[in-house]
Amino acid sequence: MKMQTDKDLLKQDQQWVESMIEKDHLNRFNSTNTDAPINYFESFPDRLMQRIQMEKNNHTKPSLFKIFFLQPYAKIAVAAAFILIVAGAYLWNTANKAKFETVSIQEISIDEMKSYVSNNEAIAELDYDYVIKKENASLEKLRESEIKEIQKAIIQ
Amino acid sequence: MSSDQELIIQFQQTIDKEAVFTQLMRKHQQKVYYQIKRMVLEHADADDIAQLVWIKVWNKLDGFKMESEFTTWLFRVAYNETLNYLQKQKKQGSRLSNDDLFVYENASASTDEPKTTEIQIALDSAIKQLPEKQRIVFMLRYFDSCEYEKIAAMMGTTVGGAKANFHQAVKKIERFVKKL
Repeated sequence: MKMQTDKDLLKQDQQWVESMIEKDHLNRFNSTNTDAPINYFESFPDRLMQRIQMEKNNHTKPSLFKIFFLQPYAKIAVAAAFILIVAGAYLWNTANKAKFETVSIQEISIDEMKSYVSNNEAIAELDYDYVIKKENASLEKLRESEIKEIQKAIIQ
Repeated sequence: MSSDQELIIQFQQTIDKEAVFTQLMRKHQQKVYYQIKRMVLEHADADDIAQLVWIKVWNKLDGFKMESEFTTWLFRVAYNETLNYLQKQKKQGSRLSNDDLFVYENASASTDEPKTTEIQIALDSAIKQLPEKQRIVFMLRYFDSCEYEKIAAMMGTTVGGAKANFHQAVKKIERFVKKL
């Protein structure tokens, strides 16, 4: 019943149009606008598949960065690496701090103290000798007139 | 020949998609092309749009769920792509230029059968100057004998909207032809 009504309605619409314009004119219009170049439809599927193939090839491949982040374990790996870096930095700092910690004098043995003092005495002696040698060297460079002037100054 | 549904299932299940897709394309390419050409009128434009339509179908066919008829979906894709194309062209400048009208006028003046050619030119001009929606509804209804339900589904509109577009189109053509 519905099919019949649809067909009737369609017929009515078409008759309405044809009552104003001759069917010939309408058909001519349709034929001029539904033509295509020769062999167009024969070659179209091949041309299209070539284009699809080309677009596939030209489609930029995802970078290694993107590929990595597409993996399901990527986030876990990044989180683990971050934790390792933070933990490593913390451990490194605490180990270095421990090296420079102050020690109370009661904790140092007498032998350690003695060896420290003797080592530093030797260094002090070495420094003293160096200064004297340096002063003598500069005195040797003085002229006689300069030496006399110094002697005069001392006497006065 | 396999039905659309069979071909789509094959496409979705097989690795060699190209062969199945080509079958589907060969089956429907003419109707798609003519639908587009009636809207854009130029072969070069129709060819460009037809390619865009089939590329879209290629990309989306794996997800097609058979909830609607394949042809309805296909023509809707074609319709939307054509509208997008025309909108882009409108931004660049009018499609129906003064040169086109000049050609019609000259054709009318130089013919041996003035009345027939005049009517033909007027009809061409009237249909070509209709808004896209009205033009496509008129074409689908009059030339392709499509039901309003199908036209509405293809164009993403209501049956009432499709009917209104057809009536407005016919009225405009009538006014144009009566001027002669």
